[in-house]
Amino acid sequence: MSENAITIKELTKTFYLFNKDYHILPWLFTKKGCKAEKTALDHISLEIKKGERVGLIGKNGAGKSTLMKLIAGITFPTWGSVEVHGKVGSFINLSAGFNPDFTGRKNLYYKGMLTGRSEKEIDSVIDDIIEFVDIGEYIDLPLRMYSSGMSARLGFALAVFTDPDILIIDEVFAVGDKNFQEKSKAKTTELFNAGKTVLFSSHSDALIRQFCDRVIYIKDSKVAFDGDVEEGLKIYNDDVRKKK
Amino acid sequence: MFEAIRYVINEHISNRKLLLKMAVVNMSKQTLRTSLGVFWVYLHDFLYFFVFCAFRILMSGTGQIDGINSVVYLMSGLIPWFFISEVLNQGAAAIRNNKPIIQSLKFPITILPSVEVTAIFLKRLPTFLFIFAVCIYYGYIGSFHPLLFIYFMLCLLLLMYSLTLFVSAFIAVSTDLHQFYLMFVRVMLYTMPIVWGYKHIEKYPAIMTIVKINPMVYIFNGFRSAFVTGVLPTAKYTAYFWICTVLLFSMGSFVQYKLRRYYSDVI
Repeated sequence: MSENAITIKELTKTFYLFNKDYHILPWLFTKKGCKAEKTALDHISLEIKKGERVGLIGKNGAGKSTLMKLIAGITFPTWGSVEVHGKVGSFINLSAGFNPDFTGRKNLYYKGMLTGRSEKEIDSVIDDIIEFVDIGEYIDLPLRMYSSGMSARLGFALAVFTDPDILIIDEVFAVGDKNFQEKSKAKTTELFNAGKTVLFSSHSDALIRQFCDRVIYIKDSKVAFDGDVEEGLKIYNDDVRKKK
Repeated sequence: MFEAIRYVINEHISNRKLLLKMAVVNMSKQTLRTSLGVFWVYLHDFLYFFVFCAFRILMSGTGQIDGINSVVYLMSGLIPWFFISEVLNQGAAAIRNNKPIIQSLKFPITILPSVEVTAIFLKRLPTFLFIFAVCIYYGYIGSFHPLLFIYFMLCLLLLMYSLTLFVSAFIAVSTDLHQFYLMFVRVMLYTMPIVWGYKHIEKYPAIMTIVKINPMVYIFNGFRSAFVTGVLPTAKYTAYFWICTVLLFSMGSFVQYKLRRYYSDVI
């Protein structure tokens, strides 16, 4: 087994846009009828070692989220390959997969099942999760009664406590109130220090400085910089200023 | 093509536990907020069934269809039809309705249609057991009839799995197709020998053939013979049915296999 947690080779992702959704059907066979192509990632090659904490920076629409989704296995590459060693805990859409009519507790088991965790695994961490989420009696009420912050907290806790090897975090510290933010930062730091591989996307320089030891700057679907945190942030901020 | 079929079958086998668990959870999804729960489904069915029975008996006056007791005739057709119509209506949207899962979790997408079919089947299983019991009471069950019942149940399930696999892929990428399809399903009940008997169309062999083009008719004939007549289906029709099913499954696998990489971008 290699030392790399994530190996990305020549990764390209093109979105095909169609006038009508069903135009994709003839397109699948003839490759004709596509209205526009939008390349989100263009021949990207990366290696991320185990235990590395990588910050992803770049402006909106640069391809950060696409890259994260590809690594999480949610979308498929158009070209190239993504190899991932280890269990991925993705924080991309925290309340996805929850059912509004189930109670919080049942939802934990349900989403755990969807993400391939066995009932036993959830059993062993459910008390910790409930304590961490700290929503009192709401845990046994249907999710539709939750505030949006609460369900995101539930999602965050589930992803953190199911012991992932690789964390993919997409701007989630905006979740919950100040108290919970502090708590989730503390918990994430704990995971970071436990030698997990982390892929972290944020627009906050402070958070990147605090959490990451390597920065990847994605600009116009390509890797513009890969390396030291301070240097990367400087290049990025210079670019932003130039635009102004 | 073979690669696609192998892919779909493998995904089903390696995720069989997830499929079953998800089906059990989905089963209760819609009726979760009601106090009668799944019994609403049976009440719906019963009312529908009652209306058809009353209508048939009043109209024909004899209480018989093709020489069979009307109630039993309707029962052996309508109960499978309730299952089929629910599969046709809901299974078709299996992929579209699971958009949040597809867009934010890594998930074996091709099992989604099967999850839907399994959930509906589990929900309706008591109704199938019920008609089985009624037919025993009427004394229609001979020695080999239970075997026929099991065989046709298998046919029904396989046809439904294949059809849903095929249709849900198209519905996922087109809402227009969904509308067209729903319209088609609505009238389908009346094109099959469920509420009417063959007696009415015996004189027109062309219509007989057109009716039989629909592979579901094979199943309805089958259930009727399992419950009442015990007449075995002809080899020709059996072959036709299986060819249809295998073809649907292969094409369904192929389209799903091709489309699976694009669902999360397109839906």
